[in-house]
Amino acid sequence: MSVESAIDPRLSSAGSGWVDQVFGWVPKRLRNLGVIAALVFIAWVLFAANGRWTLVGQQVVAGLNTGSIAALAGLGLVVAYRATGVFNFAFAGIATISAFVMYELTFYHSVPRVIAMAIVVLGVGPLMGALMDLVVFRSLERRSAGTAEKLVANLGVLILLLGIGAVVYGEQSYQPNPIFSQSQAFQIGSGNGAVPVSWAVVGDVLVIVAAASILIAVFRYTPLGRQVRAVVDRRGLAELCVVNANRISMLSWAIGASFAALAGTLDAPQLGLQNGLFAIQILQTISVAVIARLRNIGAAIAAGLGLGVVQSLTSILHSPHYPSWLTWLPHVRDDIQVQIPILALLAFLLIYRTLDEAGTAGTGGLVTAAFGRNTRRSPAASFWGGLVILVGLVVIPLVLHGSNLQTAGEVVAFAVTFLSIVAVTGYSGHISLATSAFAGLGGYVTERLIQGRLPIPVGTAVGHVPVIVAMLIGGLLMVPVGIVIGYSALRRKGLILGLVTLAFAVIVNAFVFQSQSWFKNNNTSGVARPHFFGLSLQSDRRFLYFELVILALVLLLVRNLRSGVLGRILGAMRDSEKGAVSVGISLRRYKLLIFGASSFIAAIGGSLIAQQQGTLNLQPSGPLSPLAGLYWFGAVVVFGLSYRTSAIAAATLFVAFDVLVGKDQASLIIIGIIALFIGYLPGGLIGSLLRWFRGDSTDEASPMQRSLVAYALVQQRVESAPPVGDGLEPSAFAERLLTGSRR
Amino acid sequence: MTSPAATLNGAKLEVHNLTKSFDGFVAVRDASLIAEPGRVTSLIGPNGAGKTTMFHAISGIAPPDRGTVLLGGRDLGGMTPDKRARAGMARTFQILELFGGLSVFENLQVAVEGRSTNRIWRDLFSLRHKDDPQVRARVEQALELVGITHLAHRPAGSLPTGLSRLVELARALCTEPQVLLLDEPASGLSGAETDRLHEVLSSLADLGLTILLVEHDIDLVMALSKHIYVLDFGTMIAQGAPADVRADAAVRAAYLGTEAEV
Repeated sequence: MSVESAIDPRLSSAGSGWVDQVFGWVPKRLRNLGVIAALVFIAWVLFAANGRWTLVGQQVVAGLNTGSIAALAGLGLVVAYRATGVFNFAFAGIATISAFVMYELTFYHSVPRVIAMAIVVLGVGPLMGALMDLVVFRSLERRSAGTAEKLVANLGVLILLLGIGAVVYGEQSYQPNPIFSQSQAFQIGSGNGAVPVSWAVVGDVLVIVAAASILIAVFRYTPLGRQVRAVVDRRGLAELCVVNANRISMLSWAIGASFAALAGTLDAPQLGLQNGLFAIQILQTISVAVIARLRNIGAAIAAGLGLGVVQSLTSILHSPHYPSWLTWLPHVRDDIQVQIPILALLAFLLIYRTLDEAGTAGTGGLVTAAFGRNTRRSPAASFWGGLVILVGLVVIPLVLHGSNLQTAGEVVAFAVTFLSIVAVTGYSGHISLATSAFAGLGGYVTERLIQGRLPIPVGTAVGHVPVIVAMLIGGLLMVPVGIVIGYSALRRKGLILGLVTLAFAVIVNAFVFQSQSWFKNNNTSGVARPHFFGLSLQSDRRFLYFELVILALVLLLVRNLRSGVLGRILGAMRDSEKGAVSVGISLRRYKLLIFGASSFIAAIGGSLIAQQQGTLNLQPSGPLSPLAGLYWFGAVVVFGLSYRTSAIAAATLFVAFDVLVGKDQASLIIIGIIALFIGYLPGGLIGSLLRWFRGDSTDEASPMQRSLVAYALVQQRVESAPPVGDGLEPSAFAERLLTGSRR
Repeated sequence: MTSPAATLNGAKLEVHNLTKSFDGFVAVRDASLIAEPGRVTSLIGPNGAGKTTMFHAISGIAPPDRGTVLLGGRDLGGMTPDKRARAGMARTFQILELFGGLSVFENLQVAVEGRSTNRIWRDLFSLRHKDDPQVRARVEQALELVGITHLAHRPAGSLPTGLSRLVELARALCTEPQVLLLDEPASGLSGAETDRLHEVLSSLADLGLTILLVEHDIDLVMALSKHIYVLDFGTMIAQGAPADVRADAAVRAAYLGTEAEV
């Protein structure tokens, strides 16, 4: 009898064969499916290659080259995640800044490549990681912040780093020199069928093998590896075992950042170095980490190399040289081939439903901490507050002139868009990073209909549709799209849902916004402003009034999502899904409702942005790109997800600050810096300000203080047997210590 | 409805041959039980025996691999947890699942309102939202029944564990249940609070409600229950009246180890 079955006979029934041990990270139901899919793909490639084995060999080698870098980045993500318990979105920012530093050193200061690389990978990267730990994450770990809080702080780092990149390097594209020589190292085979292998391929593969070997050895066989795992799992308990958690944590962040720096320096020569665009390309290696379910180093390497090879081999599948008897097979389009990593990401996210989340899981931290209570204002306060807002709305457009009117118009358009984030994340607790996709699609539908074309690739001509009607159609069309995305939220929350929505945004950007076929006969130079019953709203002032009316209506709609029966139900769903279903609330109905409503709002906002700017800018690094969606999310979070005013304040900072300082994306630095300290600002800036005005304190007792008081109370209860009723309650002071809040 | 008590219309809960496994680990195997209206039936067992898994399977939160769950003769198989709740199955949780951002009163309001969609669309597009007086009355009665009226406007997330468990109980009562599944309701309660819980559960059973109780406080279980089931390593090892279960050799072995004297 095994030890396990001696403890619990049920354990003997669980699988323990070598297949389970090697492929334990793959859900059982997927194993056969994966084998079948792999066999089908291999057969397809072999038939399509039609005997051109040299071509197949060349593609495999090329795939190993790109795949090894993806594997390296994915490996870095997995290691950072296992070592810190935080999904490191900021690795894209670290990779970008590292690549820029490498470029500076080699191009402007003529530092030899090997030395420059050592400086970046062993110095700059680890330094950034250590600073992240010291400034941002140590305090969050100390107070056991939730996954979502750490995610937002991490997004803050990304936003800050890309903001610095934008301010220093702008939107220009740079082309760093390759690290390893492209000359041939050796060849496989001989004669015409030989497959040359370059030093670049050899170098990249050796780097990944060396890095993985060291990591596996450290994690598996050294006390340091055990200490890292212990700190991630239960930091407090690890410290009780005399583990220096601060040192371990800082080291973990430094190692993770070092990998990001390595991936950045190796990737930049292949992809080209343009601030936001490079970050998005690096972010796509999330797929490697997700396929490995964020836990398996070997799986991350296999996934990276596998994706690289599959992507490379797919080029054979859009060759027009299929054998005649196979011409019925589909040809894979170029854009699909390019987007294979992100398509794989979405597919695996939808298949997995959960990731192997380290440490304390769940979204509680951010969402609960950032939310205010459902407080009720007095009727008088509501009346006077409403009157002040109304007067402001009438007066502001009158006192503004010239470019200030345009800035104000842009603020309002973004504020409407940001309100969708308040609705879906603030009110229902679902992290959605797809707002930019809905806004872009809303703008796209409006633009198409105004141009007299249907919003589909064929673009059949129809009559010109009035702007307001086109905008409404755009909003309404996004409701079912939002509902489809909402389906993914039925069984997902937190990180995995955020990744699903981000993948959706990237896919929409790739296949719709950047697609020529969707924009056939396109003329995006003119997104007209509306006429309202014959009154032209072309002028900036009139259009601002129109935007303000839309903003007021959307504010009302969002307020209603927070109030009454619906508000209570959404609040319940946000706080505890199990509790909600236990009282008969249909999660499906309300999740789909909130995703539909927020998509509608985002689409209306996107349409307003296009009308305000007079054009629909869907460029990869433009105002409606997936990266912009991350910036928007960060902007709203720093002001407070649960407040409608946050959307307005965030839009004001996002738009007006850049205008004020005369530098595009300068606001990102401010947003990033505030996001770094989100752990100290429960409820965001507005939440903290409100608490300060009300005289509340955010001071929290330490876990030790709470334990001591709890122990004292238990003793007191046992000894004095207090009476039933109010007498049972602990003193206000003790209760504050127990619950960590003051009322 | 005039009082929550007036609607306590219990129904017989039958669980037959329920099996639930996780990745090859069979947490509960072929377990069956019956809970009759108007009495407290308890499910006990050592830590890790599978009690909470069985509750999750019965309430649909972790649907069973096999087995049937009948409430008042109606098969609940294939129903989602919210549909089971609307069919009359209410429950509390071992790990509290209160709506921490809402007040205690709002927690209970949601339980009354959440099953109907009547006001949702009206609320979405209206300028003013008024509470339904009937809902308020029902909530106030549930608060009174459990003895926590004084907590009504406190944020639920700020309450100590014992009081939170009472709020969960009151919330469950607001769903007009036919059967009440209680998962360790006395955990974290002081002696006086446990006595209060005893009183409340006794009166609910007397009024006709079906109660299925999972609890480690054996004194409370023995005092309240008319029938007890014992689960060990996922299998039912004994059942019967409290005195019979207390004397059962297998139960003693399960709780005290195989070396224990019987």
